Amino acid sequence: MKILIADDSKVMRQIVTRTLRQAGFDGHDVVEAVDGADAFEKVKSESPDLVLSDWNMPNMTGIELLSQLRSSGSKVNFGFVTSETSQEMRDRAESSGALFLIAKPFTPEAFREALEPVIK
Amino acid sequence: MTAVIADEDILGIAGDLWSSYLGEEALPAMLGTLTPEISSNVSVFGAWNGTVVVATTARGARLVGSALLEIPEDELTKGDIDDAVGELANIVGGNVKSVLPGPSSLTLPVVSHGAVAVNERAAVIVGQAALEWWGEVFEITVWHGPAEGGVV
Repeated sequence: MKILIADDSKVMRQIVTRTLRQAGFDGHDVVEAVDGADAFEKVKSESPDLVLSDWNMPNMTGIELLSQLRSSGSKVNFGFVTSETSQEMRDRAESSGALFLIAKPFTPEAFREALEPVIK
Repeated sequence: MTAVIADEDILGIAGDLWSSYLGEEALPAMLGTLTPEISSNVSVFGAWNGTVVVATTARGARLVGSALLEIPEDELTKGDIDDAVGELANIVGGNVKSVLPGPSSLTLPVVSHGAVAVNERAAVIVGQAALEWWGEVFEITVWHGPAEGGVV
């Protein structure tokens, strides 16, 4: 699988990459995007199987990214990885088409639980 | 009524962060012992308005950067350190926001060298905690108000 990680923090992109490996999801191609706008372009150019996106990013937020992707006809699997985990945010994520929302700080177990249904 | 967050809740949020990403527990420390050399903050605006600040020493920031990026301290760039400290505020701030009245939004983190200048005439501390990790103190402060955020 090809997984696109969208986060404006290089530190967080590395933590997500590392946690994928720790959760047993190594061997997949990882592509990185530095914000929502970059992620939107890379979904088009890289055709990932899954997008793991932060919520709060410059240029285009994660929720704006998801909305733009769905408006453009993209059905790419999409999940949020975010520190903002209120029920209101979870409801917005789900109603916008996200498959899951993983809360920061996360553990490999949390990744495994969220991603196992998606990553075969 | 001003919503407050218990110092124990802040310690719990920070404890989860340290355990998940930094590999080990940080111990509660005494408030007021830190001379901040680097700080990061996020502001919350909406149903609740305020600022969450994480402050530490320069060495504390390098230790966090090194641990999060899994590289030696001497390979860290200034950008790496600012990114790492910014993420601390982002994660703590996002979790604090989740337990305060909503809906509200979170700003991107801003990193300052020294302490964050909060407009103390217009904002009040509603939660505060300190931790010690590898001999360095980290202070987390939650300020409530003003409407546009507490940072000068």
